[in-house]
Order: sequence, then structure tokens, then C-alpha cells
Amino acid sequence: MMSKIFDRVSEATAARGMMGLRGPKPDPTVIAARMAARQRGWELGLPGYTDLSGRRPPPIIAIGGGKGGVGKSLVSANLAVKLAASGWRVLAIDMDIGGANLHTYFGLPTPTRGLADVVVYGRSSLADVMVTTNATGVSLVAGGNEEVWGGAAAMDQAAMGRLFESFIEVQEKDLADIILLDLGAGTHGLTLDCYLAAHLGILTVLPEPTSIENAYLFLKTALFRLVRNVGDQLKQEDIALIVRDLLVEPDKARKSGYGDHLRLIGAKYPEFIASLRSAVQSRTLGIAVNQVRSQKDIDVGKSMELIAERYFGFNCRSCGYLNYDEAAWKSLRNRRLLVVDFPHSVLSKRFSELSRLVLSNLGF
Amino acid sequence: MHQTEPKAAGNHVSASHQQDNALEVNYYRVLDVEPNASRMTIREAYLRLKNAYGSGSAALYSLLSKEEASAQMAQIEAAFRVLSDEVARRAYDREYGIKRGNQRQGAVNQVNIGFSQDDLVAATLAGYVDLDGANGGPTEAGDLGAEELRPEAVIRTTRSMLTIIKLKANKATATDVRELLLEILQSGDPGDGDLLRRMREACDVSEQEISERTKVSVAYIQAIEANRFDRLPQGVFVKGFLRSYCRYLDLPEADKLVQAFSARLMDWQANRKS
Repeated sequence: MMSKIFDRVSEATAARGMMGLRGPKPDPTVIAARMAARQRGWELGLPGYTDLSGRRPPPIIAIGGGKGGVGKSLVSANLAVKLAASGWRVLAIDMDIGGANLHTYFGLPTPTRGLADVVVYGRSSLADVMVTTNATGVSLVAGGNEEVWGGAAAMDQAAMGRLFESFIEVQEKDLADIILLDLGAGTHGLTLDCYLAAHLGILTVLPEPTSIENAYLFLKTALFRLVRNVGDQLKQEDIALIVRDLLVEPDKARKSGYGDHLRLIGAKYPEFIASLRSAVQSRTLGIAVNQVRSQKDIDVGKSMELIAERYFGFNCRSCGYLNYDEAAWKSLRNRRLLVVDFPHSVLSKRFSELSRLVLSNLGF
Repeated sequence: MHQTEPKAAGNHVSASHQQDNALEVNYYRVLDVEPNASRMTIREAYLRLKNAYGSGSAALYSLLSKEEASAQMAQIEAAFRVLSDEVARRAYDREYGIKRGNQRQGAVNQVNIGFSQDDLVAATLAGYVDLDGANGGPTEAGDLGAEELRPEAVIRTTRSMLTIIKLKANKATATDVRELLLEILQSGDPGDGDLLRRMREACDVSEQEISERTKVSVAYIQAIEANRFDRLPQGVFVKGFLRSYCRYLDLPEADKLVQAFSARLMDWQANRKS
């Protein structure tokens, strides 16, 4: 009996070692192979006008959440530092258009150049507007030039196209190993497309009804956006519209959720649903509950993961939780990063765990 | 999106019921477990679902109304009532022509037994384990593409990973946990803490997990399992700890275990006083 148990333990440890979990950053060829495995499905979920023709960006992580003030930027900044600490060069991009302030978390002054120069004006490349931060291994592209974002036409298709080209540029010029997108609040089409551009999309939620409601709204709109994008990519916009209409039928969707509903629609449009499934499978959804005060709050996150899988049909993996901690606002007032200012706080340890889960969810 | 795929259950279900099951209630799908899932897996799945869909769950806000949630919960309870009872489960399997699957299918279906979730996640995401493809389900074209692009080193890792997964799963399918528990129970003195530890490990539950779920501190769990009476509080408290311990693991002859251990502890405490 005892030997049986020991066998089990040593095998699991051996497997863990082989998977490279908790280990150093894997070989570039391994990263390339794992990203290539997802490439087709990943491309299927991008907006219809992007044409990457097989060109591959580095792994992309997006931090969203639907509601404002749930800690998206806090998570982005500190996660970037923790990822960099395990050897990954991280490029954090502030995608909170019109409300960009990620630079403040890094204690940097408002930058004069930023994303707007690349995607709106098309006059710089990402390499020109990238700034280094105090944290080793983390570079930042700030929002920059807040004024131009006011125009409705600022983020048109051409601008979005330039954004996706920038992601490719990061890989081709070897600017970073991982891209981290700090998304804005709300369910704007641009935010959704950036969320869908990620291989791992993390939703930051608070264990509160308002945040939970907005997170589900975000998942729902993201799913609908994905249906549309797959339709555009396959040049089957008509089917995408039909599938969308079928999905919104309130009775069926409410009864068992979109996941089951899509399976039934699959009987009618097998090819479209197979492509949609492939697009969904190449993206991982993570839920990170922020400001956790009790075991009950942690359980809310676990339940939301289950619901995201059962009800929405997403490929959902645990991203852990973050404790409620005074250190969060104290460090912000000091204009220093939490994990640097309070490295021994509970929250800082939680960020280490989050970074480990993020890498393992990406397959590293 | 694995919810939306025809589950492995569909492949095992006889043709006459296949269509019904796609639309109506398939208990295995309700609990989201494979037809050859072990008792522990079913129990764990049920607890997770109960937490998410049970009354007062904050995670359902804005998604389902109270009535819809309780309808879902009723279905989950019904599924668990049948699947947790070995006799009822066999009868249900017979009626719907569900087969538990042979060893090979079991190997891939039961990967999460004795295997950490992280390993499984990483393996699945990296395309090492194609859970659906292995069951004869639809294979994504993307997966086929991945096969060609894998460098030699990765393929080697894949093979050893799969060997380990199969090894574990075979062990788990070969010995039903319940039988294993009875075997352990008969092998020693019911008042021995080490017996409890062995049974907990057979259930594949860590000290941390049981402590988190029963709210008994890890130190007390360790003291009980190591028979360190000097580190334990009054016998009546320990009795309570043992009850939640046994209830969480769903151990056979729990009363006997609780009585035997607390009797030993109380004797020891009485002797110390005198």
C-alpha cells in the first residue's frame, strides 16, 4: 500500500518536471511549437479584416473584466513584474483607450508618445514608443496622446490592422517574449477584439453582484463577437448572423446556457460550429477574483469558472484569487509597484501564484 | 468549449437512446463526468456544482432566475442520487446501455485521478492529450496541424506523459477506491491515526484540502494522523474533527473509526491527569 502511494507521488513529480512547470522559461522552439498548435484556431477568432497569413505573435495575455475599478491595471502591472521575474521579457500595452494610466502604476510620468502614435497616426513603430520601466524585463507602451482618442473614427479598421501588425512586429523584432494587454472597462467592440486577440484572457472580478453581472455581460458579448469574427474570417457572414439569432432566442439560451445551445446548433451547421469550437479552444479564459476576504469569496471564483464553462462554453482555467490588502492602495500612493513596495505582503505572494498559473494555463 | 461537444457519453450510449440523451437528461452530462468516473470524482463534481448552482450562490447573479437555478439544482441532485449509489448507477447504466468503457478509454477519461489539475491543463493545452479525439470524437484540424509542427523533443515528452497518465488511470480503474478503503480498514487497528492517513491518501486528498474543507487546522490533522495525543485538544473536540474528516472523505464505518480513535485519546488524557 505504502509503495503504491509513493509511486504515485514520484510519478506526479516527474511529470511536473517534464512539463517544465515552475521551471525556467522554456526553449524558444518549444514556445514556437505550442503557439503554432493554436495558430489556426486563434486566427479564426480575429476580426475579419486582419490578414496575418500564418504570421505569429508572441503569447498574448489580456486583462479585462467588464466593470471599471476591479483592478485590471493593478493586476496587469504586478503580473508583468512577476512574469519578468521568472525570466520572460514582458511588453505591457495600455489598451484602456481614453483612460490610460498604466504608466502611473509603474511610477512613470505621463509619456509623450504611446499607442496612439502607432495605431492612429501610423507614424511610429511599436519599437519607437516602447519605454523601459524600473522593473527589469518589463517594457511599457503607454496610451499616449489622450486627445486623439476622442474622435470616434480614431480606432477604425486601418488602426486596428496596425495594432495587429504591431503584435507581429514584437515577435519579428524580438522585442519581448510575452505581450500583456491592459484592457479598458465596458464591452466596446475594440475592447472585445483585443480580448479575443489574446491566447489567455483573464477576467478580473470582485465578489460583488455588479462586477459579476458585468463579467457575464462581457463573456456574452465576447462570445457573440467571436461568432461574428469567425463568420468574417470564413466569409460566411450569413451563417454567423443566423447562429447569432439562434443564440439570442431567450428561452433556449436561458434554459441550458450557450454552450449546450451551440452544440445543438452544431447539428445544423457542423462546419461553422466546428470552426467556432476551434476558435474557442485556442483561447483560454481565466477568472481571477480580486479583493477576496473569505473562503466564500474564493468559492465565488470557482463557481464562476464552472459557469463560464457550462453556460458559455468557454475553455476556462483557474487563475486563482487575490486577497483584499491595504498594501494595494498604499503602494499606489507611494507610486511604486505593489510587488516591489511590499514584496512580503500576502497579495504579493498571490501575484507569484497568479503568474505561475498564467504560465501553466498558456502551456508553459 | 468542451461542453458543446458530443461527450464521450454519447459514444457509449446505445443508438435507441442516443437522440433522447442529446436533448434530455443524461446524468453523466449533468455532473460533467465520464461514464467510468470513480466515486470520488462524482462526489467532487457534485460538490463543485452544488456550490455554483445551490441556493444563495453569488456566482449566478444576473444569469439565472431563482426558479431556473433551483430547476438546475434539482437535476444535479437527481443525477447525484443515482450516480453516487452503486446499485442505482448500475441499473441506470443498464437501462440506457451506457458502458463504463474499457481500460484504454478509461485511461484517457480518468486522467485527473492522482494527477494534478495543472499537469492536465498544461498537457491538454499543449495538445498532448486530446481528450475528445481519443474517444473517437471529432478531431480539430488545428490539432492535426500541431502534430506536424512539434519538434522531436516535444514528441518525446508527449510519449512519456501519456505513459504516465495511462499508468495512473489503470491503477485507478483497476482498484475501486471503495474497495481500497475497505482493504486498508481491515489491515489495521481502527483507532490508529496512521490508518486514517492511509485512507485519506487513498482518496487522493491532501492535508491542505481536507483542512480547508473541514476547517480543522493542518496541525490538528497532522497530529491525529501521527497519533500525537499531546498536540490535540480535549477528546470531545477531536471527536467533532474526526466526524467532519470521515464525512468529507465519505469513509466506510465512520462511526467505528471516530469511536475507536477518540476512546484511545480520552484514555490517554485521563491517564495523564491522574
